[in-house]
Amino acid sequence: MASSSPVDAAGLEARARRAYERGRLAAGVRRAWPVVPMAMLSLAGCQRPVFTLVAGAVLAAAAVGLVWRGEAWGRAVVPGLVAGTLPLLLPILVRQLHACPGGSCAGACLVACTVGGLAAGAALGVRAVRLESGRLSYLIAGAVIAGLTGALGCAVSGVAGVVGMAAGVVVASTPVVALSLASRRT
Amino acid sequence: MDREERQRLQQQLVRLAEGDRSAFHPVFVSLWPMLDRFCARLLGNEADGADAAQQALVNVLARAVEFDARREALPWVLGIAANEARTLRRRAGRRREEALDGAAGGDVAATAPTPEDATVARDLEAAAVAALGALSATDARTLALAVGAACDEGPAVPGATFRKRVQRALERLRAAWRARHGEL
Repeated sequence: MASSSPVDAAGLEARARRAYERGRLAAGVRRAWPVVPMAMLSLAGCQRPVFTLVAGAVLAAAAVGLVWRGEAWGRAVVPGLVAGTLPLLLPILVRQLHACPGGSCAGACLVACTVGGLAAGAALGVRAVRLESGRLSYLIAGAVIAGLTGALGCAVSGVAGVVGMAAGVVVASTPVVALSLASRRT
Repeated sequence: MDREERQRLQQQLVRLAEGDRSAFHPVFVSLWPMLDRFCARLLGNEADGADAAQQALVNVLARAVEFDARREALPWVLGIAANEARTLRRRAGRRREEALDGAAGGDVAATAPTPEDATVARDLEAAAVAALGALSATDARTLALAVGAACDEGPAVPGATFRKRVQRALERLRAAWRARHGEL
């Protein structure tokens, strides 16, 4: 080290590293702010406060943690939140607008959740395919974030809605996972 | 820092912003000596420079996550460092002012005259007035202007002439003092 002053370089590096990690954590908190209005929407639209609060807290923690971790994991957070908006909004809209074909709102909401999940999974898959590296981690992180975001909306149709939405995300993004694994082997 | 080093710093900072921890040490190693020199030059003092450089380095790395890959790394880093150096200089200036204020306040308390001191001061003042009384009106006026006692006006003669007059008036004052009280 070319410094002319008597500075404890190891101590300074440790201090700088802590500052760096704190900066990443703060960036995670800043990037996770959309979780708050999403959870409020879920609280207003689904009337399942306990589920909403738990899912919202897990989603916020996952978003902060992934941004802090960084690289492909962190890059997937915002796209995951955006992709998850569809399964979040669709079932709530179906219920609020009483767009229930055949008079069964539960069935319509389940379909909305599944369709929303499929769309979110496909959107994440398309984005992941374009990446040069870190596809798998991007997809896993994006699917977790999109799934949790969607779960906030699909709480309206209970466990079935959440499971349907999660299945949609997984089914639509699986081809990308397969592609990614295949390209790793070759 | 040459062009190659700048490019390397740019790439390392982009990787660090992305969350690649393996870029941390190389960034630290290339930034620290540069910031140390930069801040020392800016503040004109190695010790203050080292303090500012350390804080600047910590700030740069704390904000590394915000670094935009489209920007140039070096001006971004130096901007943060210059800001830190300015802050340190301002803070040091404020501390000096507070210290001076404190010292002035302390002096007032410490130099509060005792009755004996007051008596001595009164005697000295009376002696000085008596010695001044022995001078001509012109000399007394010149000395009053020189010590700023006659602040309503300045000397009516050129500076060099005035300085000469002050010198002569002081010589005569010393002579008058010696005639009354002996050598100081």
